[in-house]
Amino acid sequence: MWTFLMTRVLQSLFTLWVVSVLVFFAARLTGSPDLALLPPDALPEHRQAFKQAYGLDKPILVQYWRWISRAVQGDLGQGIQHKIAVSELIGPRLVNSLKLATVAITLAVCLALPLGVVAAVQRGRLWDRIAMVIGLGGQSMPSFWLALMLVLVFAVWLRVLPATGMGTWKHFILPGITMGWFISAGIMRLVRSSMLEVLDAEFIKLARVKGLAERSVIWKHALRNAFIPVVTFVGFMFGIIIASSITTETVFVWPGLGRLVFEALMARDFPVIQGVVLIWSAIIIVLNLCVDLTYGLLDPRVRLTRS
Amino acid sequence: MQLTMRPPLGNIKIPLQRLAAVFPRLPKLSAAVILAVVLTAAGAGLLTGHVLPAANQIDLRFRYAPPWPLAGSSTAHLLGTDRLGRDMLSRMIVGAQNSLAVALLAITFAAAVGTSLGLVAGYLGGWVDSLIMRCVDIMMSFPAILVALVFVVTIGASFVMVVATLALLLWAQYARLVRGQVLSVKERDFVALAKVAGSSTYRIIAVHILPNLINSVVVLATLQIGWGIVVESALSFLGAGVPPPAPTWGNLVAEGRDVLDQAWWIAVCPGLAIMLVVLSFNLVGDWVRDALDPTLRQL
Repeated sequence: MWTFLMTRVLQSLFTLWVVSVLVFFAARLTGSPDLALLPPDALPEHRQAFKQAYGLDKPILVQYWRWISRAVQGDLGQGIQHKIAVSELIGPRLVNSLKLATVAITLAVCLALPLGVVAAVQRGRLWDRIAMVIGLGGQSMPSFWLALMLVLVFAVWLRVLPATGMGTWKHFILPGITMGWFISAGIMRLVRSSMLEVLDAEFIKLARVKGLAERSVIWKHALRNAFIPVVTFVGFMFGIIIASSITTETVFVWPGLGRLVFEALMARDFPVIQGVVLIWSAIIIVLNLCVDLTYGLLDPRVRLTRS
Repeated sequence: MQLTMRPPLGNIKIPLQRLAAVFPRLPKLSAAVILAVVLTAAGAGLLTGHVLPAANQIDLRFRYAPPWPLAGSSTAHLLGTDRLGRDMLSRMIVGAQNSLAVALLAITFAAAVGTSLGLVAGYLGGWVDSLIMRCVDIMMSFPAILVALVFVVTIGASFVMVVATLALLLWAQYARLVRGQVLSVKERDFVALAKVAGSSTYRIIAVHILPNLINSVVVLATLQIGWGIVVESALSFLGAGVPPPAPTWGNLVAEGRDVLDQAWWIAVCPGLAIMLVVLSFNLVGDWVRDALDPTLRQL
């Protein structure tokens, strides 16, 4: 158990380090941010002063070392565009993104769990079909397009929900549905297929033979076991959420991390890009680690000794 | 007596029979959609500019003309026009060409690179295997879209760049899949026989092992096409795809975003096209998987 834990933690740290190297050097591949942030007629000495102020005149390895050694201590540097510490910039945005993610995941689970179970129980019948349509829709619609269609229908035509911004609970509905639909497609497929598997198992037959109510057999005995694969999906789910948060937050002008990184990319604001990618990767990596560990707790058959 | 060294090619022949057997289950509507879109995209040069207006032909008299049966539309522009009076249907056809080309090329590259690395890792084992598989693990724990966006925006958006980035995101899955299968195939008798007969490592990998796992690669590739199209369109939508004025489905939707209240069709039509095509590819992909290699259910 301890060897497994240590190997996984070391692996995660290594992955995080590779992410930091990649994003640091990728961000510098096309030249310096003074091209994007200073006016085209800026004097060479101004450019020089600008580069000096952000340490961009130093050799690239020195820049990397300065950045990573401070990042480890929690100092991600200062944003070039907004002139405040990157961590202060990221903090509130991260909270906004997490709020949206929570709404999306809640919606997704509330929709996908019952639908997946009912689809498995009523295999091939009406509810299975409905679940399939929702699932296929979620997998084939690009999130930015779904977002625009929701805006078109509910904000432009019906005028019942706000199209952009954040403030009241109404602002959460459209972006929440946009992101939730995607995740729910995956959860539903997983719940359905693992429910189908579990419902065939001996202990379910036993539960029925014992005379338990069908409701209790399905929602307690079967679902508890069918839920295990869904847990492993959580890490993956966050990946999807982050992916779709960039487009979704851009469409809904949501003041979250997705929009922040997009704006930073457009302005070549290196410290912000690096900071956001690093934090996001860290979240995904830590989540995957937790999932691996929880998996062992939920299903004792999984041995944690293999590396 | 002569020892025959040929690997059992049954694995290649049987799927053809299987394909015939499962053909009735082919989702025909989806297959027809794919065929129609691919043919239209391939023939875009013949259609646009001859039968239809050219994709970039500006006609300011017809700005924001709605799709055909609606009031104020014209039969010359069946799906309406955009803010410069360019024909939406033509732009969508050329867009299909760009979007499909990016997705297909990226998947081809990813499959080629990933399969080669997976073969090498699985067959050679040892430190080569560890190195390659560590890279695979790293690739798979990236926030993929974000890294793609960073690469495309910083290095500069171009057709080649988008293809390269998507391929970079996709190869790891092939490597992992192929390596796993190589590990079991290489224990089979015909590989041992080939070794005894003095075949080179390269020959064993290319002639004896590769044909046995090509099915899985094809299955994974078909299942990934839909994903490729969606990611390409998301990059385009964010302005990090094939650069304008070349239309792609994603940047057409992006153009429609700003004029949603006065010209909804600009955003709706290309999005519908993406959805329809991706859905069709997913359904056909499921069918290919069931036909070629049902053990890959978890993909």
